[in-house]
Amino acid sequence: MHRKMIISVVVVYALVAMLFTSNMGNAAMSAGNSNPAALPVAAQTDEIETSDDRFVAVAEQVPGFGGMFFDQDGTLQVYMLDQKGPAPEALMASLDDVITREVGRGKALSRNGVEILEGQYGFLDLHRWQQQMSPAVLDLPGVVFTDIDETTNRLRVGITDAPGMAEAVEKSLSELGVPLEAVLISETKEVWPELRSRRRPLRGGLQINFGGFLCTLGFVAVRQGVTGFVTNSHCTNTQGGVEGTVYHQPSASGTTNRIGQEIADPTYFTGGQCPAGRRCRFSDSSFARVPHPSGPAVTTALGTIARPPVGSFTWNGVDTFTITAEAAPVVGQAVTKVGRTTGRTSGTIQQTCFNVNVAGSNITQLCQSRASFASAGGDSGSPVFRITALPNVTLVGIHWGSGGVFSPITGIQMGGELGAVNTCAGGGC
Amino acid sequence: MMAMYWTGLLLLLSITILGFDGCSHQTGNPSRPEDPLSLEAPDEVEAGQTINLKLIWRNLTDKPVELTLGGRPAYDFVVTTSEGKEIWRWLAGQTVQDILEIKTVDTGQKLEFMLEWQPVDQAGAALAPGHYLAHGILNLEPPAALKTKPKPLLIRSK
Repeated sequence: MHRKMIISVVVVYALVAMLFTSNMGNAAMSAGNSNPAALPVAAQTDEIETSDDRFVAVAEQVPGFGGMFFDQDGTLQVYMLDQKGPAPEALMASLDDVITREVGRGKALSRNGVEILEGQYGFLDLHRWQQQMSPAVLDLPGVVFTDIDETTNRLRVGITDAPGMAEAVEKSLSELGVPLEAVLISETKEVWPELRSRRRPLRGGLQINFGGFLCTLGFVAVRQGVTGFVTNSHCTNTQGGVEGTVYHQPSASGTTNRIGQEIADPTYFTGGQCPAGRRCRFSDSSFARVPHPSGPAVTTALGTIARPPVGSFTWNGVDTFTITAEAAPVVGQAVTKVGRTTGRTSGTIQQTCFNVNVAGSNITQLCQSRASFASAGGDSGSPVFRITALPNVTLVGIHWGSGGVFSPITGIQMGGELGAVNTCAGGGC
Repeated sequence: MMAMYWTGLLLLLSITILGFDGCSHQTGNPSRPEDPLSLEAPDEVEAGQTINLKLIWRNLTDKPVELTLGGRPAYDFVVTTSEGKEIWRWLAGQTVQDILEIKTVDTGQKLEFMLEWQPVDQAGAALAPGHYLAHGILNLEPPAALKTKPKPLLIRSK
């Protein structure tokens, strides 16, 4: 999270994005329930190579390397310890070679050239100090992040504006033996975790992204032996029909946040129960496998839904609902939904099995349900459930339309729809 | 994807990104040319005549703007009496897909949202000749929304 804060500096962002983009096949997560059956490409490991690790690799081969970043013109600025004046050709060649190999993974990064800046600290020292200070400093209330700030050749600690924060950090640094002059302390906004943040393992209620669109992950499920998640059919590139929509969580950043690919989305039918001139289905649902066939590895938490406070989309990343049952909705029941836009909202089921036209289209959704919970754009796909005995819930469906319209789980699992999906309602997860 | 939804409908709807010089079907004056959001509609029509409503969002800045559109469709049209009483809203009672779309609009470009409207009230009864006001609404990241200034509309007797 603190890295996210730092990469808000545009020039660094560009570099970090490139770093992660080039490492997708190796990235892995270690928390949460893994799904070995869904990890054919990138096996999970306990090690995650970070951009800092790559800079360390450069520093080990180029003595004096102090970090690097792209400036606004796209020029690669490289800090070299005590380097005054133009760098020798041999150093430039060595730098280019090592950076290309270790950071660019074989691709040259310096399209607009490289400039040498005089550094005061080597990256190995910065990295060691960062490792030293992070556990202790991040433990102080009011510290938001710690980081190696590549643009300043310093460490940086982000703090809130609480009184005495800077002094408390300096005291901690002194005790750790980290030189104060190598650390910049700056005020920043506290980072509130949200359903819209990057979250692993994947669970119901999190923001997902495809193309230029945002929706909500309904619930993790196993369908025909494949682990993935259910969201709306209209949260795919084309509503109805499989075209391999690629999903990211929370949003696309190269392939770093890629989580899966659409593999089931029944086509809309005409005739039969479908009104003339309309195209119909019994649910607005689709299924995406996790992870994407080309990785990275992604962990999932089958049977769980993010549990933010009532009326909020801020989530501590810990509290969850547990799906222990599935049931058809019944008018009068109290239900809750969790979505990326309006968060956790509740209401009462008002209609069941009604046929509804989708505004601005020729689509009719058959046998849908409606509840009085609040929703808004971005909540499409949200899990809808009844809280039975907290944290246990009965999954009722997934939300898709304004006015609390949702597809019941019974419709989602019909033949011709997604069919049977294991939501862990039977336990054993 | 969007085109799939709109094609073959009784209502002609579309979302397009066009350059300024691509606006060749203007049927009236924008409500306020200096506003990013404006509504184009004829000043007057004969009773029973179809009305083309066009909501336009223009990037008047010198930088690309990222717009988050709330819902699908993300736009709506409202008609009131000259006293401001709402008599018709396109999306009233309709179910909108709760999706968010992020669109980047370059400098000088625009988004257009169109609707062919047979002037009726919410109950489907033809509007009586008289003076009305039309508004366009563009829903953004909830709860934000933009609304145009009212555009006067005269429905004349046949």
